[in-house]
Amino acid sequence: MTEILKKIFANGFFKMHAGALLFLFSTLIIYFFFINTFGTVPMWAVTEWNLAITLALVSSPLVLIIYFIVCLGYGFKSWQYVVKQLSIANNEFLFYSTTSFRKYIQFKSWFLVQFKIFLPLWIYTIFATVIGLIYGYYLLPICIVLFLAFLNAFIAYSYIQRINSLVHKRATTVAGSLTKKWAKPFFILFTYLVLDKMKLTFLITKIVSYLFIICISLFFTETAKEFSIGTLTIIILITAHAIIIYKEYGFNERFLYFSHNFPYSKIKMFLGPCLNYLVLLFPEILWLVTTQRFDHSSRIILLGLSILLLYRSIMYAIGNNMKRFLFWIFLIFNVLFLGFLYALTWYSVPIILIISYLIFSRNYSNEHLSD
Amino acid sequence: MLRFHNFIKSYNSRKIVEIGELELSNGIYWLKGINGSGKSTLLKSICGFLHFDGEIFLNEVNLKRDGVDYRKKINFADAEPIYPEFLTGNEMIKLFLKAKSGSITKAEYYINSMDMGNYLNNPLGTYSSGMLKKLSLVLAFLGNPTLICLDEPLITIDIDSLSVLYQWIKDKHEKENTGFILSSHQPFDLSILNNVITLSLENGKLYPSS
Repeated sequence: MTEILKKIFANGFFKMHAGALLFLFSTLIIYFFFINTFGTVPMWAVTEWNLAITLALVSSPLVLIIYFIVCLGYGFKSWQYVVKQLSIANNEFLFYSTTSFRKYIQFKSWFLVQFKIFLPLWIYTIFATVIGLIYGYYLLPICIVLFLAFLNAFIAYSYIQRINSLVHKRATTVAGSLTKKWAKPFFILFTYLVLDKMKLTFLITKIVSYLFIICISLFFTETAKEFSIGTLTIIILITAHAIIIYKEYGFNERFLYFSHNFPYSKIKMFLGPCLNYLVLLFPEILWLVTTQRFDHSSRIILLGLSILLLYRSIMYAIGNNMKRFLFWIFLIFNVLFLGFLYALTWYSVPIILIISYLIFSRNYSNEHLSD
Repeated sequence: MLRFHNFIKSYNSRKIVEIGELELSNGIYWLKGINGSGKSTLLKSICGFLHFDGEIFLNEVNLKRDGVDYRKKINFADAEPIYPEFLTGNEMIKLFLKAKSGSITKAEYYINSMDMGNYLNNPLGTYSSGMLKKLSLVLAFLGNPTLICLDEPLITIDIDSLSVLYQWIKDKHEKENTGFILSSHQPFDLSILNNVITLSLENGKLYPSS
């Protein structure tokens, strides 16, 4: 049972979050080893500083609390992932198979699953504890290990509670009840999904978006209203919505798959989703309209939509593959940024639209789906 | 009439189905084949879901060249339909009526004859697989299709609904000359559908036989 659970949940978790973990890991590596500091830093100083950071974890209560918060955040994210996976039809068999084992056997399996998910935390915790013990810190290292073990056990216990309890399926959600009488045109269905099932993802995206907007307003107080700053902002804002675009593709290809049989032209299927994004990007559009001149804001919105359509088309070319999607987003973002540096971004809108349509058109009846 | 011209459907250079030249008149066809023989792939290719090499024509309308006109003439019901869980059955029917230019009167006839009226206002997330299957069959009959492809139409629905479905197929074919391609492992009730033509899919080739 443990191996099956690990395969479904732990491996699935790492696969799903490979992009984010890879990004975090490579950022740390780059930060620690490749950032050129101002002036010369001797090797002994680099080693000493890194040691000091690790020692701070086992000696400073404040750093310890920050680390606990990080662990809780990671734990919540993994719990959320596992709970979501438990609710999908493919994993329904677990409710009537694993539950026939004795509770302590179930606990052992789920503890090991969570242990594997927590592996990056465990490795760092044990490393910091060993360093702490070597340097004569005893209390805080033991606290860290106990905390992580408790968190690991608590989350494992919550899985057992969930899988052994009877499923209560709600007839409708709050968003579903509120929008019950609203018209639901085909090209706005994803917006309803966001309201119904993706509220947290959407909220986080909006927070990231608005944090960036606040940064722009603070750093470019004199030039914030200039067209070039608006251009840079929209490139970053649309890129911040990459996860929404990724989810939209998944939704279209799974739940709106029937629409491939609808008598809609390719151009309609290509441009139609802009309706969704005009609604979902409403807060950002509002900011643009209120801070930029009308003609500037219209051009910036058009640029934003063209970048968005390019990201969408890339999804149709590569299929539901987060790693490859992130690679392409990274590449396109850098090309757009270069375009911005040479003030070419606005002029590239027709090219972006044509390329996007060609990619979409070639891959719409894609090969990623099988019967 | 459905016509294939050098049709090849492959996945990663592995040929699944190959049909050189073939014409099928507007009849009721039973597409037979073992699991994995490519029945669903063939139906999804015919209905404009999947990319393929070659050409398919429906009443001389080319799927690749006149995709919109072609899709107006062809409907499809999936073996295991998946729809957005937050939509209700009624909202799905409205969506299809708009897309396929169907009439509400006909839709009501299908809904009533399958006895679906009492749950169509509920979100699809609460439907059983049988209820979803019946909904998908209703959706496939909306509009004015020349050809309807039903993938495993006999699975998951109850016996009473089965006889209703047979009657729909019979009526639609006799009154509106609509063609059908039905993929199924179970044999059809030949007392109702007495003019079924068999299409056997073996080793990637399609063999029609009466």
